[in-house]
Amino acid sequence: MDQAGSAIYDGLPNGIVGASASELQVPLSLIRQLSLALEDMSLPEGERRQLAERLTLTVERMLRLTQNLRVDYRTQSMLNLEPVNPMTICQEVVYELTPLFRAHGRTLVARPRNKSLLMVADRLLLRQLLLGFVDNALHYGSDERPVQLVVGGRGNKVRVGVRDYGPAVATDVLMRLDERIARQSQVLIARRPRASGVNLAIARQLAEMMGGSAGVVRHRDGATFYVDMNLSGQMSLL
Amino acid sequence: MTRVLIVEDETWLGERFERVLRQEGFMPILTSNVYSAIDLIDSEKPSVVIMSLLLSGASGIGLLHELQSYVDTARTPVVVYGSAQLSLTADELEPYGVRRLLDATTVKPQDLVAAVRSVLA
Repeated sequence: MDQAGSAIYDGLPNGIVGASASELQVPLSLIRQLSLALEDMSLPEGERRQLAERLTLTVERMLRLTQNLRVDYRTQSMLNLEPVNPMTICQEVVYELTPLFRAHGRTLVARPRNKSLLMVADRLLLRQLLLGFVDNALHYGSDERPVQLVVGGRGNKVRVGVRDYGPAVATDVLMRLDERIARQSQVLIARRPRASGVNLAIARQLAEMMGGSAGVVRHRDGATFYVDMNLSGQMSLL
Repeated sequence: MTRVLIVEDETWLGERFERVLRQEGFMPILTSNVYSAIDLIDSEKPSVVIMSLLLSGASGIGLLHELQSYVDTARTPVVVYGSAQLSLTADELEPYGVRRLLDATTVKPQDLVAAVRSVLA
């Protein structure tokens, strides 16, 4: 790598602290620009209202991010692992984030399923983890298709995935670009900074604390961020 | 009218920039990802690109490399909008066609306009 290239990568924030700071800085920068825009007293009332609504929604997003950072410090002994219906949690997430999605002109749905599944999880932690994934999905896709929360069984695990849709890229173009970018990118954060930064790192920790795992599957036209948790034995009683 | 491509995945931030530039007589084109930015550079041939480095999907650095890879785009001036936390200097980014580096923590709308005008001068 040339000297300038090396300087670029050295300049990127590394580690969880750097990624967290970077993640919080994005909404903070937006809040600042929205506030600056609101200083213009000649703006039409409708526009002022829209700016104010965006400010509120962005502050709420920041609060969710900081909540995720704080929860990282919870100890395993504080967890309340119990049989949880992930569809219920998905519906709560949809309810909470629909105003934010609507304000962005986007849609969030929980894909219904006929058979209910129970997983072993801490309800609050799982909800928080999914809120992080969905927040991230909103800021990735430019596609009109809705972000989907999907629940599925995988052997003795239950997977909850957040599927987002970015621009569909022809496979050959994607491979060519990926190859170039992979050659040039030596740090994880360069690939998909927000998701592969604090959200996924914390999600992995949280999932492991609950005896599960979290990860990401990249598609040609987006990504699925998922958490796999143990299937609840209570299913056999149903 | 001068076309300015804005590559910003924080849609509302991109819309603010878009509005400010339109008010100043530019023709802003907003996109949120690197892949469509590459298409727009080919089709719209913007005079300036304003972009964030930490983009979702392929990174902004990937886009800078892509721009530098072709004779017809290598000279397109780029204004990078980022945070001081990146610890990058304009000199370090210059080989990538970056002519101005704006600090997200202090930049005002008029700074953005001034940056675009300065790289066009």
